[in-house]
Amino acid sequence: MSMNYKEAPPVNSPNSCCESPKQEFTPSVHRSKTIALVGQPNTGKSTLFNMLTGGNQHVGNWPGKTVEKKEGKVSVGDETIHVYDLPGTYSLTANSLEETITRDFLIKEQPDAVVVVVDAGQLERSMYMIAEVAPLGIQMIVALNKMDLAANQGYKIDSDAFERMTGLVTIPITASRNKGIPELLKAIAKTGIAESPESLSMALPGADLPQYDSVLKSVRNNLPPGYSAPWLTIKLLEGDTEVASMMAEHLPRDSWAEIKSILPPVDEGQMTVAKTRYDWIRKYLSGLVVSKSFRFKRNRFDVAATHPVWGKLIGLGVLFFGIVAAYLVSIPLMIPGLAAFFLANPLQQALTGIIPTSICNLIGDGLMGGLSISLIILGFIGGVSTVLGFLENSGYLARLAYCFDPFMGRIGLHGKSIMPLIMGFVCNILGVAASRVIDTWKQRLATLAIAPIIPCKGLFILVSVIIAVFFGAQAPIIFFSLALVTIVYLSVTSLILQKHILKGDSSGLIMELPPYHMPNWRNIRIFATLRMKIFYRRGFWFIVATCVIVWFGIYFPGGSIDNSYLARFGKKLEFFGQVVGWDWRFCIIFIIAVFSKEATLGAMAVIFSATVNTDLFGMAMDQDFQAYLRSGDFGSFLANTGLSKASALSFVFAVFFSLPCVATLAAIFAETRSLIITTGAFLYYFSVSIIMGGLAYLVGLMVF
Amino acid sequence: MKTKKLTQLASGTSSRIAQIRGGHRFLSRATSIGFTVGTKVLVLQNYRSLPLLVYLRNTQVAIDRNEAEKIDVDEL
Repeated sequence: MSMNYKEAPPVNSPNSCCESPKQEFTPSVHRSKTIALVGQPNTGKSTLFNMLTGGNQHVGNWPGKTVEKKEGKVSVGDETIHVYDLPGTYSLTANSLEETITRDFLIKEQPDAVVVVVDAGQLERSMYMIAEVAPLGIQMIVALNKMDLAANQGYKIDSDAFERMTGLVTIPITASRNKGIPELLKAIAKTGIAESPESLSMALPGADLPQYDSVLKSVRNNLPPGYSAPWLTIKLLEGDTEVASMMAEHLPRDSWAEIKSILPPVDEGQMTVAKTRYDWIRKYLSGLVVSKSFRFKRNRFDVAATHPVWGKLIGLGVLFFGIVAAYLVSIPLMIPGLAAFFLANPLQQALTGIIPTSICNLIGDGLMGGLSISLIILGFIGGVSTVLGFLENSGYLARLAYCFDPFMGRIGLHGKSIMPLIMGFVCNILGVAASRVIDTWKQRLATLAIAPIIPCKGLFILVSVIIAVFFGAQAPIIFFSLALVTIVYLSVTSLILQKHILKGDSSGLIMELPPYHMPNWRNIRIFATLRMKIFYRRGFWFIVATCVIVWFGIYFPGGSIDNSYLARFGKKLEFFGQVVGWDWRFCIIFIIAVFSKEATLGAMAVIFSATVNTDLFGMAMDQDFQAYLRSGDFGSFLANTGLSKASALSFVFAVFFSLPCVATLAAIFAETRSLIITTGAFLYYFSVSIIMGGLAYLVGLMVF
Repeated sequence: MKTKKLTQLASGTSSRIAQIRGGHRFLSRATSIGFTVGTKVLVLQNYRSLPLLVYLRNTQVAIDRNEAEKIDVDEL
């Protein structure tokens, strides 16, 4: 049972939300208030949250859950208002984590008021949330959002009439244009002050059902503390399993049996209650919408964007430009990162002679290298979040998801997953960051778990060089087999995910395609800044620290990689490596590939040519090094290592299917905020990599 | 008036929902996005390779073909 009874005065009357303020009005200097934002997806709830709180947000976890908890603060006069952005859900039935969180918050935390965000252009559907929240007995404010779009569609909306009819404070706003926000804040500030009891003049949705009164009576007689009787009644009639089992436990056996005998069969109950909610909406809608000259017509772009062929092509084009745009946006953010990279050498030289050489190298190679990588990734995350925010807010993303849903559905993922997966080809970090587009936590987790399997650009370059050296003309066959194995690997992983993570969540797509909308830049900026802040807190210094540790392993005690701790470690691993024919050098390279694909070629050059350079990250971008690679010397070094073709094949497979790099793991941690998931992913990919290496060796022995 | 599955309607066809079948979970998701008995549904496009695209309650909604099979409608 996830619901706990709260030690709060019982909320008995359906109208109690406006009869009695929960806290007495005490004139103190610092007053504070808790407000929850709820609303269906695409009502602009998150935009409103950003506009209300600006950058003043805090992201944490819901207790015991991995779903993100967003909290912001805003001051009105001398009062601090804590605003909680509850997950966007279509209903308050405990079917998904998001729905459970939203309703548990409303019941257990008893916010001072709840702002229900409604899309003024799609009132009939989005008002459903009002109907869901009304019986909870919490003071409610209706925010009629997207008034601009509604006006464009020819709707004339009379919010005053609606307020009079229902008694609900109703504020017309356009969050994306920052309109109506002060009025909404004023209304929020006023909550908790007693209003006349007759102000709530509406009947509760569902109260006209034939069984309502008798169930309500039985529930009232044995009301669990902290719950609203009308809400429990509606949920029982609706066949809500969680509420039913709670009541079965709470009520005396005979009164539960009595209620049960009245209740309709579960599925029938669900349909009837939903229908009464819409009937209720219809009733009040007629007063709210004064006139409507709107006839729905799809524009030509939308027809093309949802076409089986053109839609996919447009989608791939948008993703391509999205990646380019993400790079462009991240340039200003990457400049400090590149500066750190280019400053490393002059700084190192300037310090030489002043402080010991080892510390010079620590700063120049380890610290600056790590800072440079971390800053560049921070830039990436900013760039990709901006593009995400744009695609999401413009309404296009839903079309992309629509076109690719059948395709992604084959591996158990939502259509929206296409975006993180495609972006993963450029860099897994982009892919992990882009997984934010997916609305439900389970689906997001599944996408996060699959994204690192996508071979990134850095991995392609690394593996191409190795394959070219060892396999020459057979290279295309090796690439083809890698591609085949990738597909099998993806399918098997998705099967595992469907069995364990997506259990019971495999129901197919039902998704709204929202109208196109010009996004608000401030909203996108707040979103992107927040994503960067989260990465900074959770991943940034982890990457820097890893770089310093790797540097330490390479530099000490001898000052070169040949006689370093890393080499000693590699020699210890040789025992295992020999099973597939790798000597210690390949063992080390394998480990370095775990840290950074880009740095691996540099490491190979250092190890095989026995230069004393310890700046692996620098070498990856170094002109001399790239010329050296092309010169063929590198190839001859590699070819002279005495590695058999079977061993080389095992090496290629082990590296290709190796771990996501440390930066990707850091990004996964920043996204999930879960050490268990990050470690689990690490172990999974690591074992697969070892198994792949071993199998490839066996196959190699047979083939070559 | 003939009762058909929602997936059997050609694009541009108006209909009214007669029955929705399925488990608790599906029903909850479908009803909360607007599919209830008696609701008017306009099929916007019906390609075999894509989810069904419909218009109901002022909203353009995409619904998986397997899920749409569970919705019976009366053609208008």
